[in-house]
Amino acid sequence: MSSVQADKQTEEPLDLIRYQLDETVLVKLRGAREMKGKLQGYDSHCNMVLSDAKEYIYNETGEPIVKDCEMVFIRGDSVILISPIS
Amino acid sequence: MSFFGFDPSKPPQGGPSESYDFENTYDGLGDQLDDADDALNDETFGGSGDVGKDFNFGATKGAAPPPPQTVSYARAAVATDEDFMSELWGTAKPQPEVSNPVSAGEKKILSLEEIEAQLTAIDPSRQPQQHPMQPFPQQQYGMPGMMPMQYGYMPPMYGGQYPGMPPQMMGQPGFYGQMPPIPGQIPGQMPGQLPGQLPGQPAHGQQMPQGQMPPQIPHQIPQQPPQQPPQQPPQPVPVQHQQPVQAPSVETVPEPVESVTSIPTETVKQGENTPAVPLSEILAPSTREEIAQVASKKSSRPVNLSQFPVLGSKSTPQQRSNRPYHHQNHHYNDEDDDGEYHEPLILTPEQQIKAARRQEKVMRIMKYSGIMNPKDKDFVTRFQLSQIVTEDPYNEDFYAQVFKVIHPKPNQVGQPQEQNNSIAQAYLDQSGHRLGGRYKRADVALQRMQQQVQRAVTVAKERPKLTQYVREGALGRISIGSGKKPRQQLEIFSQAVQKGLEEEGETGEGETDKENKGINVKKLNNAISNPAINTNLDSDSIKKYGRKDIMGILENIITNLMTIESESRLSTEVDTNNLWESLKILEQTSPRVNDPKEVNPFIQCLNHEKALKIVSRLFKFLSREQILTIATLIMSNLGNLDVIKHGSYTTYEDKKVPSKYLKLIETYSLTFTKALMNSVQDFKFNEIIGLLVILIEHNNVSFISTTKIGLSILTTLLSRAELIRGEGTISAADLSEWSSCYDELFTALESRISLIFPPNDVESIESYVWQFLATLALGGKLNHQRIIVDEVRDEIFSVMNKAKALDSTDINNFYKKQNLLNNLNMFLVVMGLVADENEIRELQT
Repeated sequence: MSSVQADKQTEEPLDLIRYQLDETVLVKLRGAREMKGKLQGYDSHCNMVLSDAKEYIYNETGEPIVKDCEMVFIRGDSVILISPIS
Repeated sequence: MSFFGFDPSKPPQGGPSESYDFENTYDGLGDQLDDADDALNDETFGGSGDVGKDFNFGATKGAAPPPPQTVSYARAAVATDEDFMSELWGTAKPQPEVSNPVSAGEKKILSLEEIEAQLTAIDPSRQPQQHPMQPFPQQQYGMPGMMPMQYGYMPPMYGGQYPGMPPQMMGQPGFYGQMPPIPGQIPGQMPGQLPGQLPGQPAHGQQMPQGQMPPQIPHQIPQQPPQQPPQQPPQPVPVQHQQPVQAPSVETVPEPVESVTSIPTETVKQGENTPAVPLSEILAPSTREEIAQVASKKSSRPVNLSQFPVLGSKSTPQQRSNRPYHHQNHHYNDEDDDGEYHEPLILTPEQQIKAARRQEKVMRIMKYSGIMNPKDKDFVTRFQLSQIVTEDPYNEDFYAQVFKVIHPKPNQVGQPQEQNNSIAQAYLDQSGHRLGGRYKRADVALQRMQQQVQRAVTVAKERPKLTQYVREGALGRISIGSGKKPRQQLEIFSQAVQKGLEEEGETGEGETDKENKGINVKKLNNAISNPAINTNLDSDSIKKYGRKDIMGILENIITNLMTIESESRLSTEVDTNNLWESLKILEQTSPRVNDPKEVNPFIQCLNHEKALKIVSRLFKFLSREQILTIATLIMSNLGNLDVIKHGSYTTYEDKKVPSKYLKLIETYSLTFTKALMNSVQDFKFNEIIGLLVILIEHNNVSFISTTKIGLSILTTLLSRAELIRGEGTISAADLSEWSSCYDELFTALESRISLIFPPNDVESIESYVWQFLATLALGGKLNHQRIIVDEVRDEIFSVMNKAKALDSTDINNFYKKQNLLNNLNMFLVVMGLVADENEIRELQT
């Protein structure tokens, strides 16, 4: 994605999360769940607040259950990955 | 004015009231006439049988009745005044022999074509004389039908006073109420009569046709218009007379009275003649011809005016005679020159045939003359002109320009002298030939026409276009395309595609654009002394910014901003250099790049909502110059903004902007546009002009105008410029710069204005479009406004129709309707108009 970094700043892993602030992200969670929403905030534990979020709960029958949340807090210990959605 | 000194405009003194005794008014000229040449009448008037058409001349046994026709000129004039006639009858003796009760009905049936054919057959010998004069009768000819008949009233009294006339008038009463004579019966009464004798022989049978006319006039007047065309050929004669007899002034001193009185006279006469077609009508041409010839023969010597005893006694001698008078004059001449009178009529058959052909040709040509009256012609001309009105005809004449290119003047290549010549020639081309040269004298008529066209064009230009647009529907849609816009414009969609292609494929121009950009930035923003501008620009490595980079930069900006914000709470002095540098405004300014990733990072940042949200916070800490720089950057990069690039309905097949971008656009108008609007308040006039110029230069204006954000940015700049202009403190130089800038903008938009309306805006609740139009119209001159109105006319009407369709009893609809009309009126009020759901009116102040 990124090619030439204009000015090399000291980057740390959590910066990747920082860049996604106010952007829509996909958060994969334990327990066969995913959350999509706009990243409002995070901390070093990967605790996150998403707005306008949709929660997808997958089960063996196939079709996931979808739940809408206007604002949701995700506890960091259940986060598996965080990914931007372009 | 009248030739003999009486005033035709005066009421007829003594006309109706007096009666005339023949013996008192007749000077006995008729007695002096010589009958000797009457033997030739056979040849002259068809007795010889070579006339080609049999219209009862054979029956007349060669007795030539032309004189009666001569009489009829005056008679015609007399005829309208029945009071006068009855007075006359009281003093005149009836002429019983002449009564022919039978013929009136059948003779009337003669069609125009028949009459015409007869005229043609007779006339040939005198053709040569007629032709030159025809323009005159034609000119006047359109009028008779429109003339009030009472004008015919004037001549009678003159006729009454006139030596030649009274006898006939006195003869008339006897025939009043009698039917027209059957031609066949006339001959018996005619033998031996001389044309010249007529005036002097009031009791003679030949006068009969005129005698019956007066009573019939009222009924026949309505028939006159259709009769006019056939009569045109004979008509030249009277006019012709005027010239020889009357010195040159006939044309140059056209007296209203003259035309007014004379024309109806003839018209009336025609009406009278109809029933007596075989006699009077058929003879008319020949008689007139004769008169014409006689008159022309005599033209060298003056008419013996002294022989008219009565006239002139009442009014000033300088007055000129009116036309009826001339007819009478001619009668007089006829009598005078009886001897020479027939000779010219004898022509060889070949000549006659030739002349007949000619006459027929003239007839064909004149068949439809007079159908359109001057007003009609005027209307058509104006209509045609309104289609071709242009500010700059010579340069906008497409064909002329192309011709010049294709056929360059051969001598242009050569010596300087010839170049001068060509310049002079071009000058002449542009300014017309009035300036001189060989055409100067030649084309007076052409010149007059040019002037007329010029005038008409001026009028058409000055007429507000709105009247034309209101008139819509009269003859279909009136396309008021100027010379600038003759045809349907190119579709704009291809432009958007092209834009995309430019972004993909363009390689070479990047550098130059960058340099231009740098110059612009420098010029606009003196405060920026950062040498990095140029060093950055000149660096050959064009940086690419990936999403992650942009995010990083953006987060950096936000962090810096938050730092500064917290600092500013503690102290008034804040160092914003960090923030400014983190913006990377001057990093890479090329508006046209191969790759979206090469676009200036700040512009890329603006594609993200979080950047937009901080813009107004950001601007608080930036200096005016810095904001101006940012604005400049944005103006030159508008096309690179997502809201513009993806914000135009024209790029989508369903003409709808996807909701993803709609959301972004919404954010834009809530944040960025507002911030820009605020900061524009601080800009100077020339800075705004500069921004607009940059915007126009670096972007596809018509594409930008189809996006909401682009349009609102334009509106912002334009309206601010208008406000400053309204303050009246602008230097002349700035003003001219402004107007050229506006023209440039307008040219870019012209012919595509209607495309700024998003097609799927079902509710028409978008006011920004109307705001933009209002601003645009406000800054423009009248002709700009006309073009705008012309182009968005459909939208105006559709808004009105939508408003009309809404049921105003529902309170919601009522507000919606008001909203629609308010938006529309925002635009219309600029031009002094106001619309409701039904119509567009002028704004009442």
